[in-house]
Amino acid sequence: MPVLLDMPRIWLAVCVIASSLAVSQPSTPTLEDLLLRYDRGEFQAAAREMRDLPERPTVVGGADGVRLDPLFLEWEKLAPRWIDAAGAGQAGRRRVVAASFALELANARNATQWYLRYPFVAWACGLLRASPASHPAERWWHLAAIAVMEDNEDWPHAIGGLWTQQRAATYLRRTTKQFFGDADREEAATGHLAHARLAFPNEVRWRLAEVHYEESQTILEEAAGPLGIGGHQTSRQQREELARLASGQKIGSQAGPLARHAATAALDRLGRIPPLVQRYEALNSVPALRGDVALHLGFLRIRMEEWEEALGHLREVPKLTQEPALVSLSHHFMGWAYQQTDQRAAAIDAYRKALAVSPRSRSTSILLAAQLLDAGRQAEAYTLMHGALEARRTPGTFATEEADPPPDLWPLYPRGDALLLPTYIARLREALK
Amino acid sequence: MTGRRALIVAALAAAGTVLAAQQQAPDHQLLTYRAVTSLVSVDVVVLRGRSPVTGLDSKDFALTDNGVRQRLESASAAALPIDVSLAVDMSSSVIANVDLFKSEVRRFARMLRPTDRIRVVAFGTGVVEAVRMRPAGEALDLSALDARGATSLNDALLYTLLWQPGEQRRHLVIVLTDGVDTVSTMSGPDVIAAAARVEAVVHAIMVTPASEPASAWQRRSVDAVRELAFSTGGRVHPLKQAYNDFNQIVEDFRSGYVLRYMPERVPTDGVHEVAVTLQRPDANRYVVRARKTYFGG
Repeated sequence: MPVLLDMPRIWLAVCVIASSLAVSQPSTPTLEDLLLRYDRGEFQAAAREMRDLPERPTVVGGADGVRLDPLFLEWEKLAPRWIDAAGAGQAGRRRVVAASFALELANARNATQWYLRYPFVAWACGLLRASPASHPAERWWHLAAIAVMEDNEDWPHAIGGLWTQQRAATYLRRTTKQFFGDADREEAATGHLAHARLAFPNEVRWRLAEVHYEESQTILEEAAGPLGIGGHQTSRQQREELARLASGQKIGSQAGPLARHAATAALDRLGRIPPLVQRYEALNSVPALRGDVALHLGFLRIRMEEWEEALGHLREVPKLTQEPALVSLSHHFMGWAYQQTDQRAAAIDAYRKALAVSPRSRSTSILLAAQLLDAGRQAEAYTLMHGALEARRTPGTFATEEADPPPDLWPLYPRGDALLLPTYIARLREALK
Repeated sequence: MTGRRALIVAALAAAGTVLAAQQQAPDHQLLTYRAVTSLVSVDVVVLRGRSPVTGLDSKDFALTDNGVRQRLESASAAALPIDVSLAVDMSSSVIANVDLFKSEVRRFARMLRPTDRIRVVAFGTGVVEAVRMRPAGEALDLSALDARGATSLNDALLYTLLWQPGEQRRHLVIVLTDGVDTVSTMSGPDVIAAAARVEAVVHAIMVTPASEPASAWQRRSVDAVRELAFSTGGRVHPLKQAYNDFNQIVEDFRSGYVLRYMPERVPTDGVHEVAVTLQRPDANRYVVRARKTYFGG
């Protein structure tokens, strides 16, 4: 019976592969080509070309009628064949290479189709779980896998158990059921974190992942708009006004059930910040996490417009970690805190320090350009912003088609370890050599 | 040197006074510089109905700076060449037909004077200078333009405003957008503050979004574009046909005036509120559009 149930899926895969071969141009890399190059250690080139793999529309198939990704179906066929083709002595390494390749494929998928990433991660995790962790790359694989799902803001699959069954069910019913199906519900409730913990029980960053999720739940709906830091801030006066609205009072033109509901929801989210601060502070007992903790405590203070306290935490970050993303972002946040307290020279200096670590970061360059303009240095502001934007541009294409842009750290901040994904991928590739 | 300073230096050079003295008497350079940097220029358009009014001079205008009446040094008909920055929201909700839009931009560029220049800044998720500032008569390569992605409206506006047109030129920014920013680092008020520090007039051609802005921040985003245009002396136009809309804005701008004055009895620093009115018995028949604020350093 299982074979019969799988027949539509298999047939679909065959059709998809056949049709893709029929339309392939000589210059288009095949999945197998890329896998072989990846296995030879041509990681960067293979990962870059993954983005050129033609996008093919998802198709309805499978026993539960979910939408299937033709690329994933192709991979599901190719990978086991490739692993099994090696002798017994090489199969272990090939499993890790295939899992890593699948993770990079997931990462290369268009961010607007985030739901197409997870199946690759789940497939690779299943492959690694089938045998005890033995390869040094596996730790980096799990860290990167969590980061990919956090980058997706796909918290059910990343964190699992923190979601109630009800919330996970709602999540799946709303937008993802068509891609993941009912069968995925259990996996979403378990979350990848549980698998990672089993493989590496002593990894301290798993504790951070849970707190990252909790922080994401404090972000206000309003801040889900444009990416300015200011949208995340609430002053004491704003919090008092929210409390008055929530109690049914009128503020300006804002009143009524809708305003009351929105204010109550915002207060609920803001109310989670104090216990969140305590959870971060508790992690200070883990030396390897102190840099992360200082960065997040600093940002939480920024959100409450407690500038001196924020600066106190943020100044500690470069002393506690050498991780470039954390150090650069700490300077970026310091620049913002200085800017908000009218310390323009200090803000310019801090933004410059952020760019020294993470050159061409778009959001930092823009904030610095605005400060330079404030200081009457318009020509310098233009040159800086022009340089940052040009560096992010792929020649001959429109800016939104950035092939390999330098990282812009600030937009990644609310996505947990997505900030460190480039580091994890680099370490993973290093371990595969 | 800021755009405002550059423009003023050019005006005085044309008068053949200060810069000549500068060359002959180095000791006067500092004094000259101070005098030059304190000059302010304000772009003004006067309309009767929808028609621009020409032939006015400084005696026809009254200008207050932070509420204090100022003595106008000149009100030249704006014969200066124009640097046009076209900022185009390339998200598919705004540009439905990319090829048609490209042909309209090319047609618009051909309509400009040979001494004018044009630049195209395209924005979606990213921001890119699709066409660098170049003489309007040169062929425009718009092949890189494509419609997709999110909307970095405010970041694109800052980038556009940072352009310095140089001496004896004016900067006109035309932004084509639905006004809903989704992924910018800059906020709308940040961009309005930045606009007070540069010498540019912003006109917005607004595309009606397919649906009403759903959230408060979306509505604020649309309002901020209107406020930006208003604060710089520009205005908001509904999109009819891109070519005609661009054309009309340039013609209005070209028929305007540049009022110049040296602020008196007001502190130099900080934000200055400027108000321009007509000094004519029939003033109520006219609409005067001018920059509302500038930043004194």
